[in-house]
Amino acid sequence: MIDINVSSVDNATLIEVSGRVDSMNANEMGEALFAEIDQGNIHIVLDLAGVEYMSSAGLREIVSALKKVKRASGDLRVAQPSDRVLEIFEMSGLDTILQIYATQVEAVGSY
Amino acid sequence: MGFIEKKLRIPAKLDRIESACEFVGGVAREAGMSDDAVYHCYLSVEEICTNIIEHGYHYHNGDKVIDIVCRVVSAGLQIIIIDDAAPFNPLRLDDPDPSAPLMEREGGGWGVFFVKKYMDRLDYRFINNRNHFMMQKNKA
Repeated sequence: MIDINVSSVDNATLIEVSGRVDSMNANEMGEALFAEIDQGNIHIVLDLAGVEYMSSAGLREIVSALKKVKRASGDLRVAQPSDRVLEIFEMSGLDTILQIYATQVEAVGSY
Repeated sequence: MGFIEKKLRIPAKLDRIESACEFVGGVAREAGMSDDAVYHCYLSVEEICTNIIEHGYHYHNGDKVIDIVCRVVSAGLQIIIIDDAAPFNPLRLDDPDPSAPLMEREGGGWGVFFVKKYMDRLDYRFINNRNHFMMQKNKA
């Protein structure tokens, strides 16, 4: 089960996710990201501080959303991934594509 | 040398995968595996079960099942995941490319890739018309 909270902070759209992102619910995170992009909110911060577990299903949603937002000339930046989520990003090479920040303030301030 | 064996059967539904992960995680903890090893087993079970439901059973999961067998052996934990889908060896899949540019990424294929990274030994066999995928995680 995951919780998703969407808010507007300064120039960014902040999407905070918490819980276990797996094949059962990763689409909920993807739908939240896509909904914001569709509304023209293309400066997105995805805060993963509350995500203790993410499988490849979550990775797939992030890649899809990142491609969509890049096509719209925006960006999706990640804040506060746990060590395990960061390891998933590193193994897949996504850490070289995503901008990843240690804090939410830094991520929001990057826009 | 003997070994402890525990089994679980789940309906082939996405919302039942977590129970398979919890089952394997519990056996791994009882076997004295490290927290990292338990996590690697947990994630690997999710990835393989998800692939079976999506690509093996194509979500036609009405009466399909997945069997999970855990064997605590001297080296660590063996997890055998058994299904009735068409013969398919995940180890024959090409690995996705971690250096691929964003726009060339299809998004899939990472699950088995992570399993290959996290587990110490993998083996696939088709026995009695069932796929048997064995993963072994050694004690750290």
